[in-house]
Amino acid sequence: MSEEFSFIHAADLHLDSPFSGFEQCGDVDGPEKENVLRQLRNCTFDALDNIVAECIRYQVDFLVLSGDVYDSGDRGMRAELHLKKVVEKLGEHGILVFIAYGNHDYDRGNRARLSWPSNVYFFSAGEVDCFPVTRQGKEIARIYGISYPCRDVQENYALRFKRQPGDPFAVGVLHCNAGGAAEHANYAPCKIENLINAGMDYWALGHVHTREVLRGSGPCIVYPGIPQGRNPREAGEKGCYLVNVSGGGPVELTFLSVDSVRWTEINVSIDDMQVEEDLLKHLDAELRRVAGDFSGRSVVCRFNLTGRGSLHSYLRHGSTASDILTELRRNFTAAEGPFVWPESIRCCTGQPVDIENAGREETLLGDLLSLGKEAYANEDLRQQLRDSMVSLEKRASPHVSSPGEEEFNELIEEALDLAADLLWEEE
Amino acid sequence: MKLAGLHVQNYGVLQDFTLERECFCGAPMIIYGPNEAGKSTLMSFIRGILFGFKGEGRKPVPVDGAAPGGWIYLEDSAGQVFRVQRSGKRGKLVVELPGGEKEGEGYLKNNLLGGVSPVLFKNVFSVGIDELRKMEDLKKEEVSAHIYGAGTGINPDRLARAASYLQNGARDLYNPRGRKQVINQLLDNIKETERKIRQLEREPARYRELKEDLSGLEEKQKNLNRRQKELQQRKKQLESLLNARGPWLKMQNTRARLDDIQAKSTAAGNEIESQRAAIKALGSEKNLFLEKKQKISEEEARLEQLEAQVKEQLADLGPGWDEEKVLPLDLFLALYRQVEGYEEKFSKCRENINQAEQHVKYCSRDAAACKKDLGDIDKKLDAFAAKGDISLQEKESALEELNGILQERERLQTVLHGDRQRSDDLNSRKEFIERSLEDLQNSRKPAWTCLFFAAVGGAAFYVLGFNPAGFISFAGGAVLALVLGLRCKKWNDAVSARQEQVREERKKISREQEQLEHAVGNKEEDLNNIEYRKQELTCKLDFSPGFTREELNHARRELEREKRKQLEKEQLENQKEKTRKVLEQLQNELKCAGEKQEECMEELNQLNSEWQNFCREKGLPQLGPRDMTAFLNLAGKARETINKMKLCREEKSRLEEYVNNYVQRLNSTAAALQKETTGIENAGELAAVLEKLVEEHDEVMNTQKQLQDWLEETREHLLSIAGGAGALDKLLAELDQTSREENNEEMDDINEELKKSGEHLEQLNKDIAEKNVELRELENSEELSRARQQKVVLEEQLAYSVRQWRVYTLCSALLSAARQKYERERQPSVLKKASLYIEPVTGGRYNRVITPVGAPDQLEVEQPAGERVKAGDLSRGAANQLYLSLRLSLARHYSSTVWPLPVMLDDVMVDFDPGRLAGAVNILKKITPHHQVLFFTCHKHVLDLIAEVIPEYTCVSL
Repeated sequence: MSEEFSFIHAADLHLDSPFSGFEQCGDVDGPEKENVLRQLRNCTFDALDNIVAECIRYQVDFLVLSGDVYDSGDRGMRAELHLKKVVEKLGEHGILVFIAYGNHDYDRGNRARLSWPSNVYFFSAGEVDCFPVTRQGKEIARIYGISYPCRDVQENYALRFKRQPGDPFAVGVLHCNAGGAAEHANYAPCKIENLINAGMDYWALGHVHTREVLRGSGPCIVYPGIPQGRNPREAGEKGCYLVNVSGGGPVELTFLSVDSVRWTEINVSIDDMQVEEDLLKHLDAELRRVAGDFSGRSVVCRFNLTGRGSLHSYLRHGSTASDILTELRRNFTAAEGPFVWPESIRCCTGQPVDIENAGREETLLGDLLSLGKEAYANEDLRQQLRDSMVSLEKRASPHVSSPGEEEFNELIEEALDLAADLLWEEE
Repeated sequence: MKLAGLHVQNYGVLQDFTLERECFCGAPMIIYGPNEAGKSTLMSFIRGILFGFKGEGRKPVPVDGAAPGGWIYLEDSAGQVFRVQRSGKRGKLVVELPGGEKEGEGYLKNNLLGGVSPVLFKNVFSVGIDELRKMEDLKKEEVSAHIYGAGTGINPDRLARAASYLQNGARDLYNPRGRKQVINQLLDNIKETERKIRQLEREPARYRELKEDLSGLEEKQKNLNRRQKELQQRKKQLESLLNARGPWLKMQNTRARLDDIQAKSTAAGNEIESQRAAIKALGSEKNLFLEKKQKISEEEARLEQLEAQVKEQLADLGPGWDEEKVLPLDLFLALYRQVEGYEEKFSKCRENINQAEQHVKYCSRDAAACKKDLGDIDKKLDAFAAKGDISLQEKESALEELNGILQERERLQTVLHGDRQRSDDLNSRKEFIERSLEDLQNSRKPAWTCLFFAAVGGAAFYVLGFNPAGFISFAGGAVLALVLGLRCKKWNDAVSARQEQVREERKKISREQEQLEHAVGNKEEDLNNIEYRKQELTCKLDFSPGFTREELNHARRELEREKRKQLEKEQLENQKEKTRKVLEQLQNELKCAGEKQEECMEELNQLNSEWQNFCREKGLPQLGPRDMTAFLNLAGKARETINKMKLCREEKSRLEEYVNNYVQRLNSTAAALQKETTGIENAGELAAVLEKLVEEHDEVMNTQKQLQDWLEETREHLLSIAGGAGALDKLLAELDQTSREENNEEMDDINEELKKSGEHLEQLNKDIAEKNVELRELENSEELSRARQQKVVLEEQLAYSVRQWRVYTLCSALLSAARQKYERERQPSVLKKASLYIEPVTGGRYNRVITPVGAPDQLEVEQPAGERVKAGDLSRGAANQLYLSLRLSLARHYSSTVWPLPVMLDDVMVDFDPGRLAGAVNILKKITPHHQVLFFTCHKHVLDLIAEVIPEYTCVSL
């Protein structure tokens, strides 16, 4: 029977990785701009600090970091020193730290040769290490783990894990794509069965940025997700798991929100809006709501405008959207403390025109719209349209790649909307 | 589908306006009316009912502000009639089907209008002159677009703007060979940021290097510090040795010298001490003695000089003058003043004499001048001799009286002459009156003429008898006789009255002649009296008897000249009197001046006598006052020199006494010290010898004391250098054992080593500081974070711009494809139909409408001979004819392939000449069997032509 103890499981810190969402920051200047940029730049460090604060708050026995602690193999001094500092802080509270490297921070590349405190354990690259955790001389758990020696690990590392007999509680630390999810890069792929067969009590996984409990018990297989979202795809609440292990009882998981800046997207329809002021008021109210909901935490917000209405032409061709954005940014940023940053206003609106009916009309616009619809299925036409864009892809590679099918369809749809904007004449 | 009736409730100027079914039976239907009658409003109303009032550019709102509304009837090919009503503020549409059911917009569009869009309808089926004329202003590359617009419902401007917008938008974002476009710049910036990131990512390796370097440097720094400390200690010792060596050497020398001085001290010192006070006193007086000795010589020389000076001055005073005579002289200031007083008196007295002499001289000269003036005046007075015995006043009054007499004579002569002329006139008039009386008498008319006519009448009556002619003749003669008789009587009466007046006037003239003769007699008597008086006056004035008024002015001028001479004479007499008085006064003054001159001479003689007495009293020589002052000055100077000479002799005696006393005291002291005595000449040197003896003795005593004090100070100094008694012994021992050269050599070596190690240490410290700074910077650097952040920002901007560019590019490609499709699938049939219409519409000038191969956006017309003209080169009217043909062909095309719809043309032929207008009307005639045509016009000739060519027409007049 194991002792009662607790630990925190976090992964994918991506320390010092950049936060997207301020591609147009020129309309706010001075200390307000610097406050936004500084918080966005430091958000991954702040998230780590929050994890450490939770460790101390809950007086956990150890902290597990399951890979991608850094954003790249070349880690950067700032990130390494910051990690060292927080490890030292945890050491002062008697908390051990177990760190595995993943595909981003694989065990190669430039790094500082730092003197790490004794309370931190790094798992070897390509080999499973195991470290015991003791309390008052008695082992309460054993931590198994492995680090990536290089980025592209295709080996199923799960097969290397094997629980030793007599382990009071076995924790496996692995950065992998468990279950072969297609939307994630397929590093160290493994199946759930492989994990189950390793005999661990708890699998502390990393790599998937969305938190997910693959298995609640026997063993408990957990992706804690990224502790700090950095782009619109990582919107919403982010954090880590507090794992409480009671003697003989089930493992208790508690999600702890540790993100310092939160991404959010808001969809707004312009259907019922007549003038720009209506839109400004609506967006202002939305931001106030967000600021209230996420009290004490900075928020980056993207607005997606949808619907069809008279406001569309102002948004599409005038500077209305940028003017509103500027106004909102001025209202919701401050020289210090939490902020609400309207990142952008994406206009997916259209003219108050029935595209379906317009496409049936024997007008030039009708011909154009019918051609656009045809392009969804007609491969020749599709290729012809793709060819028109190839000059940019050659020049801008590798930063710009050929759009996928889904993205291409979105582009066609936007092009048709634009054509309707330009050619449709109000009766 | 065609229109079968309408009712306008409210629309612009139209209210409760109805067109019944019969009006729409014509082919075509003409809506005729003057400007502003509501033709275009009616066309707009029909479009508004079909597609909504909002799209109408005109103001559809009626004058009373009510919502526009109304309905139209549409009849399909099967003869079913649909009522389409639009009303209310929102323009709600209701389609009433033949069966009474009601439908909305969708039914109208799809079932009645065949899905035609409002834009297409407005561009093809409902055309005004404005739409037609838009084409001619377009640039040639936009002609093609206009054709699409004509058929596709897109304004050509809009299509051109859209194509330009897409092209410019994409070009601003990206150009494969550009550098300034947004995407091009972003790519360059990303590349640069990535390079920076790669550089920053090498920081950890650098950190390790820095740590190792720092450790090595700190070890070197520690060793150097230790060695420097040792060197500093030895350096301090050497500095003490070097500092102490000088004092130590001097201390050794001083000790030897002190021993020598003590050995040389003698008993002579005691005698010097006994005579110290006397020698000191003599020494202090030595300078005084020498000064007085020198002064004796000077006084002797000065005395000799003064004696010679006294001798010279006495000689200047004159013979017989010596010291005894000069000293008693009274040379006080009072004597000088007295002499000056006499000098002033003499001067004043001589001045008075001169003044008196001058006065006498002036008075004599002025008196002579006065006498001469008197002589001149007398001569002038003699020239004024008396003329005649009559005074000027009498002469003047007589002349005035003569003037008055002459004037009176002239007046009387003039009056008399007038009276005589008047008398002549009266005579002439009297004669005339006499003749008038005779004439009046002769002018009386005789009565026989009356009687003559009476007689003639009687004779005629007599001759003719008692018949009407006789009576008439008689009556005529009687009447004439009566008339003439009356007229003769009237005339004669007037002559008598006139005769009476003339006679009265003759009497009056006779009386007047008598009075005039009497007056002439009186005047002739007055003239005689005047002439007598005149003779008297001319005689008195000594004028000729025939003196006339013309000579009067001359006489007056003479009289004035005499007056002026008289006045001049009086002035001379006055002057003579004044001159005479002045002469008398001058003669008196001359007498007084002579007396004064004599008084002054007397006074001078008296003053000379006083002066001589004064000189004798004062013992002075007999000199004038001015010479006496010079004498007194010389005597004063001589007496002053004599006094100085006496004082000089006394001073010399006092000096000689002091010098002798000093020499005596000096010799007695010298004898006490066993030195030789001396005289006055060498006394100073002896005194100096004695003083030197004392000084030498004092110097020896001082040196001895100083050396002892210095020895003590030097010991204290060495103790302070050594730092303690034990160290002092060690220091003294080392000083004794080593030399200064050895110490200096060792010190140089140490300094050199210290300098090198200091420089080395400084460099080490600098290196360590730099590496520490670099380490801190690496530890705290956010540069990598910032660079990564920057990269993400740029990538976001790039992604956004790329997406925009792709959308523009795709849209542009789709638009291009759509245009190609149109050209391929639609345009040819439209142009073919348009070619059928263009020939009659242009009177046979053009027979084809084409788009050249490879340039589908250009439109051209072709002449029968094959010559082509671009649409842009056509005249205004021809271009309108081309585009009308195109629209009608598009309407035909649409109606034949999709849905037949009515065509509304609003005065589109106003620019056509008669021949082409006839051709266009013929085209209308061809169309009307297939299309319902509503033709709006305000031109009577157009209406007449349509009526002539198309008898099936109907006409509605507004």
